Amino acid sequence: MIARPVYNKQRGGGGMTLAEIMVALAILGIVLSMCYGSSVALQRGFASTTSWTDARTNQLRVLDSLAVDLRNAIATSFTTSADGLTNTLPLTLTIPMRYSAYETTGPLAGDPARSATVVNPGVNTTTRSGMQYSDTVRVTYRYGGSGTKRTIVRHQIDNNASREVSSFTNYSSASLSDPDNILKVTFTNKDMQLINSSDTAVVVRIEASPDSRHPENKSVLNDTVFLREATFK
Amino acid sequence: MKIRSTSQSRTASALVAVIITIAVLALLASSLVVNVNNRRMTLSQASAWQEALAAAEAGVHQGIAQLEQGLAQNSLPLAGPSPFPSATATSTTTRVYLDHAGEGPSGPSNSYADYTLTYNSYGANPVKPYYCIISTGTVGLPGGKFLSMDSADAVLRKLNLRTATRTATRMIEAWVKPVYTTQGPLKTDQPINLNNHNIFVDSFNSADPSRSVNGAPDARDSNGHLLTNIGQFDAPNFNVPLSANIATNSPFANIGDATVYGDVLTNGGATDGNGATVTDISNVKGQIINDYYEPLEPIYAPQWSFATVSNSVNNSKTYTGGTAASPARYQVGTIASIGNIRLSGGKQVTFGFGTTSGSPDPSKNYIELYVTGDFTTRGGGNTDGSVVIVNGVNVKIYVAGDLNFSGNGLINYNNKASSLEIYGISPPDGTTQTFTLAGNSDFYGTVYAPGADLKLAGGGSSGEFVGSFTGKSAFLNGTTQIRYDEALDGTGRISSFKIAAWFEDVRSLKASKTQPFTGQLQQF
Repeated sequence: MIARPVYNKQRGGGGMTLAEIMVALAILGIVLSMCYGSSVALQRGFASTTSWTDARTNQLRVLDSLAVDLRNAIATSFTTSADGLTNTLPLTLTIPMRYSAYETTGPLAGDPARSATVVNPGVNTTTRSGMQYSDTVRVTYRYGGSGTKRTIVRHQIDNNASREVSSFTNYSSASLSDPDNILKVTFTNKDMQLINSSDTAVVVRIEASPDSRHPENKSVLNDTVFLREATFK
Repeated sequence: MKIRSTSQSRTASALVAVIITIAVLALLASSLVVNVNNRRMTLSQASAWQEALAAAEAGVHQGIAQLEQGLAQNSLPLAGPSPFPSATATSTTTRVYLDHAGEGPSGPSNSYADYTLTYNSYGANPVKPYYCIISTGTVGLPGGKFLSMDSADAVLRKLNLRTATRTATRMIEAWVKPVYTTQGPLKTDQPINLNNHNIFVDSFNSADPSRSVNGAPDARDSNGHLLTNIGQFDAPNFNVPLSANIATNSPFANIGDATVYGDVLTNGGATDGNGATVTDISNVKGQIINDYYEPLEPIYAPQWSFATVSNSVNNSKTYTGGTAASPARYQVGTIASIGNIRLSGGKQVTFGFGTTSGSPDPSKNYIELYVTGDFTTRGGGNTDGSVVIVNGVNVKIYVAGDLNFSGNGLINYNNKASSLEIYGISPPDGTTQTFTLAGNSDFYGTVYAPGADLKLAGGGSSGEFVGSFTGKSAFLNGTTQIRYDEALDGTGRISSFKIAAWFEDVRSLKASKTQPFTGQLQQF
C-alpha cells in the first residue's frame, strides 16, 4: 500500500487564481502607496517643523542681538523703508566703548568675550557735563548673503570686523536687495510710527518665510526694546 | 516535519516585514520628536537667557531701592571709605531671589541676582555721590550640553553648559546719580495752580556771567525799573535749553496761561477734551510731559548734639554764625514746649556774622535755626516785622509749623538763592502745614517743604522769587515770578537717584572675572 503524496493534495488546495493575485497586488499597492504618502508627508512635516523652529531660533537671536546693542546705543541711524512708513536695515548704532580691545578677525569678530579690557566711565570735571566714556564704537546691522542663504550681519565699522548673527535658507529667487520674500526687519516706535530722536522705545519686528512650499506663511516675532542710554548723561 | 517548517517560514517573513516597517516609521517619528524637542530646549534656553536679564535688572532696581531707603532713613553713605560700604576692593554682594517657572528647575533659588553697590564721590562743594550698581542675574537652564547649539548662539548668549549646574548669566552695570531738591523751579506732590497770566517761570545761571547780571537774574535802576532781564529766554535769546521745568506728581496742573520757559511735567495729566487736567497751557514754551514721578523724601526734625535753645521769639533778635565746619545752631522751643517766632510792630530777626575779639568775623557765617512752631513776620502791630540776612551769611531754617513771610517779609542781602535754605519738617499725617511767601521784597532762597501747601504771592507790581521751591501743593497768584537759578542744581538735599548710565557686560562670565568692572569713575 503506497500512500498518496501529501504535496499533491496541498498544491491542489492552496493555489491562487489570477484574480486573487490581482486583488492581492492591488491591496499591496494601496498599502504601499499609503505608506509612501505617509512617509512623504512625514518627511515634509519634518522639514517644515525643522525650518520653522530653525527660523524661530534665528529670529530670536537677531532680536536678542539687536536688543543688546540698541539698549546700549547713544545714537541710532535707521534706513527708511521704500514705502517711507517704517525704519529698516541697515541700522547703524553708536555705542560707548566699554572695552579697549575687540577680536578683529575671524568668525567671532566683535565678540568682546574673546579679548577685551574694561574701560571705566568718567566725569568731565571742567564742563561738568555728566558721565561719559572716552570713546565710542559704531556697529551696523545689515542684510547679507552667502550661497543659498540670507543673513543678518553685525559689522563693527571702526575695525572692519564682521560676524554673522543669523542665517536663513533662501527658498526663493528673490534678490539680496529684496529681502521681503525671505526676511524682513523693521523698526518702529511704540506707536508703530517712524522713530525720532525723542522716542525711548523701539519695536523690532522680524518677519521670515521659512516654508519653501508655503512662503505666504510668515513667521513673525516682535520685541520692544527700551533705549536705556537715551538717559545717558 | 517538513510541512510545519514550510508553514513557520511564511509566518515569520510577514512578521519581520511588519516589524521592519514599524521600526522605520518609529525611527522617523522618534527622530522628529528628538529634533523638535532639542529645538524646544534651545528656545527655552534663549528664554532663560532673557529671564536672566530680567533678574539682573531686578538686582539693579533692588540696589536703587536700597539707596532710596537710605535716603528716607537719613543713612545714605554720603561720605566715608570708598568703595562702599568698607574700604575693601570689593563691595558687599547682596543676593535677591526671584520666582521662577517654566522650563528648567523650578523654585525661587533657580533665579536670582547678585548685586554690589560701589560709592564714588564726584566734584567738590558739594561732593556728589555717584553709585555704581553691578548686578548679575542667573537662571537655571533646561536641557543639557548635548543640545546642538548654533555657534552664533554661543557668541551671543554664552550659556554655561559645562558644569552640573547649567545656568544662563547676564551682567548689568548701572550708574545712578543723585537728584537734588533744588533741581527745578517748582515741584509738588499734589496739584499746581498758577492763577494768573502775569505769572512767569524762567531760569538763569548765577554762576555764569553771560547768563546773569552780577549773579542776579536782572538789573534795575535806582528807582527799581527794569534795565536788563536775563532769565527770559525770548529777550535776549541765549540759545540754551529751557530749564524752568515745573513738575507735579499729580495729574492736575492749572497753568493759568502763565508763561513757563520750560516743560510742564505731570503724572498722567491730560491736555485734550473735557477731561483735561493740565489746563491753560497756551504760554508754555516747552513740552507737556505726562510720565513724571519723583518721590519727595520727608524732612525730619534735626537731631543736633548741641544747640542754643530759647523760648518763643517776639522781639528783635540777632543770630550770629559759626564756621562752615561748626555752624552756629539755634533752636526755638522744644518738642515738649513748642516755640514760635512771630514778628510784628517793626520787630526784626537778623542773621549776622559771628564775632572774634568783639568784631564781626566773615569766617563765622553759617547759621542753622530750628523753629519747633510757627515762623511769621506779620502780626498785629503798626508796622510789619521782617527777617534780614546779612550779606555773606548762609542760613538754614527748619520749621515744624507754618511759615508766613508777609509784610516786610524776608530780605536776603546776599542776593543769592544758595545762601538760604528753608526746610519744612514733614507734619504728622492729617496735619495741615502752610508755607506762605509774600512780602515787599524779592525773595532769594530755596524752600523744600514736602508736607506743606506752598503759596507764593507777589506783592505790589512785582513779586520775584529767585530760587527753587518744593511743596505738597503750590498756589501762585498776583504778579509772581519764579526765577530758577540753574547754579542751584547739586545743592540742597538728595531727593532720589536717577539712572545715568546702563550697560550690559556681554562678555562671558570667565572673561568678566578676569577683567571685572571696578565701579570707579575716571576724571577726565
